[in-house]
Amino acid sequence: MNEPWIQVKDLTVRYGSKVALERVTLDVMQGEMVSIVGPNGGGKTTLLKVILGMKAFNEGTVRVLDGKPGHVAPGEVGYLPQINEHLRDFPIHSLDVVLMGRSPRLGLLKRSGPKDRELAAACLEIVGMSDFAEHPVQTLSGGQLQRVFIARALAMEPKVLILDEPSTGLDAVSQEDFYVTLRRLRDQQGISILMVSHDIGVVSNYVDKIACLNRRIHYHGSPGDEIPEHVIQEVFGRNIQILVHNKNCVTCKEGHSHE
Amino acid sequence: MSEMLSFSFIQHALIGGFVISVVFGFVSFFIVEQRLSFLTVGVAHAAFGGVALGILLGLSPYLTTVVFCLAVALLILKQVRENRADYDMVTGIFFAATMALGIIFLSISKNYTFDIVGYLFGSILGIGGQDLLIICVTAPLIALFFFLFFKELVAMTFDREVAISAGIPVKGLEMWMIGAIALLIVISIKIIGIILVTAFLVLPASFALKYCRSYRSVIGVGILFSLVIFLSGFFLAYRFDLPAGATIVTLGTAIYLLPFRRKFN
Repeated sequence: MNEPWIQVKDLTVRYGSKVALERVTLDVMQGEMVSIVGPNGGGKTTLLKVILGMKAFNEGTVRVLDGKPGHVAPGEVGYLPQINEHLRDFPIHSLDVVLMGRSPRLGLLKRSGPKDRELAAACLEIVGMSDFAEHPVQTLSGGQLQRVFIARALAMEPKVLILDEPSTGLDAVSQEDFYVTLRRLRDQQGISILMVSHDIGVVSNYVDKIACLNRRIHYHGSPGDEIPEHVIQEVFGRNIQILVHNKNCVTCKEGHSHE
Repeated sequence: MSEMLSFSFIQHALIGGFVISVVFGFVSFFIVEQRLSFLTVGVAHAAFGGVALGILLGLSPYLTTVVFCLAVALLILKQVRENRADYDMVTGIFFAATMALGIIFLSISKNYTFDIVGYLFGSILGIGGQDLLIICVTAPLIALFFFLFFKELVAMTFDREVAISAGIPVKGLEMWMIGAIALLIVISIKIIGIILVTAFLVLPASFALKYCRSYRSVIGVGILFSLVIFLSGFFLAYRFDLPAGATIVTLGTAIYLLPFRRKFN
């Protein structure tokens, strides 16, 4: 246990003269679920792309599963990009989407076999989508599609799961469902989960650690710690209205909402 | 009918057309789903420049067209990547530029006898033994590429970013895929023509996508569609003495527009 599976130290990324990330430091331990929150344009996706090895960086060190980003063994890092509604037009059934996740483990030129189909079906089961295996993705709701994509990432048998704005387009109930599924995965399979989100509402109830990112990391905290007001203003700006959800909030348990 | 089939030029046309139809039906899915229709227009028109270059240099037009069209296709890909542009814009430039070069090449070469209409609209009955051999060797090789890397090509067509993150060599495969499509266009131009080839490449999957809900059935129905329009178009053209390429494309478009009810899984 307790070794960082993602280790980011003093990371700086520039696009020309514009600094996208500045001296960012972040650890995600084995079996930890971490969320990065921050405004759009704050460098969240850039950070994920660096960790995935899809973007070069200028300074600092980044280690993923004890290797350079992008050079980990195939399938060890599962990635879920921001949902792309475009994908819905593709003629494909849920189970075939999940089977695509077997690609890195199979390697080039090899076809998936019955064992891969079994594993893909088991992944759909984990995310509660078994009944939809033969459904075309066109017929799925946003939340269902997102679960199928999680199942695809799981079919890689990853150690680390990276999610970019996974709750976009989901209603409140689906969001809660989705985070519960992620937590169960973390608990049952011991995988590390790193996700970014522009909302700090619901997500803070489900993760082990939160980092606020707006070019720099402004705050590391655990759920239950209240994010200081000045940090929120520094990260999101003054005019933003945010619902900070605190798991120790008593009124909430009594059915009272934060307004 | 049997009299018709006894002519060797009819046999050449049928065999060549059959092979091309099967491969077009298969590859059509990737062209439509990756939004490469206009790229195929650009590469097909570049063939005009390629043929003209062959005439200018006194070389085999086949050879110069293959080299010219592959170069144009890969140059378009390079521009798309380097400038973060889309195929639509870059192809728009090269489409006109290669035609312009073709006209310049022809104006420089003083004496030429060039069946321009044959190249623009295809002359399926002019397929010689050598043309047939090139088609029967090259087209199956192109299909083999799509078959061998089918899993990867489908994955990158569906979700490019995830395919990259999963370690699939997307950029390399994309380059080979564009090259294979360019080659397929070049070897089929004599049959179907520069102007008509895109319709034949785009129609099969476009038709199938209206009725199918899985990519395997899109490809299956696409191949069937392309065989049906080729064979029926060809016989109609022969029977009523019409240009074959034009008849096939018109028939295909008419079938595409028909509203069928049934859906396939």
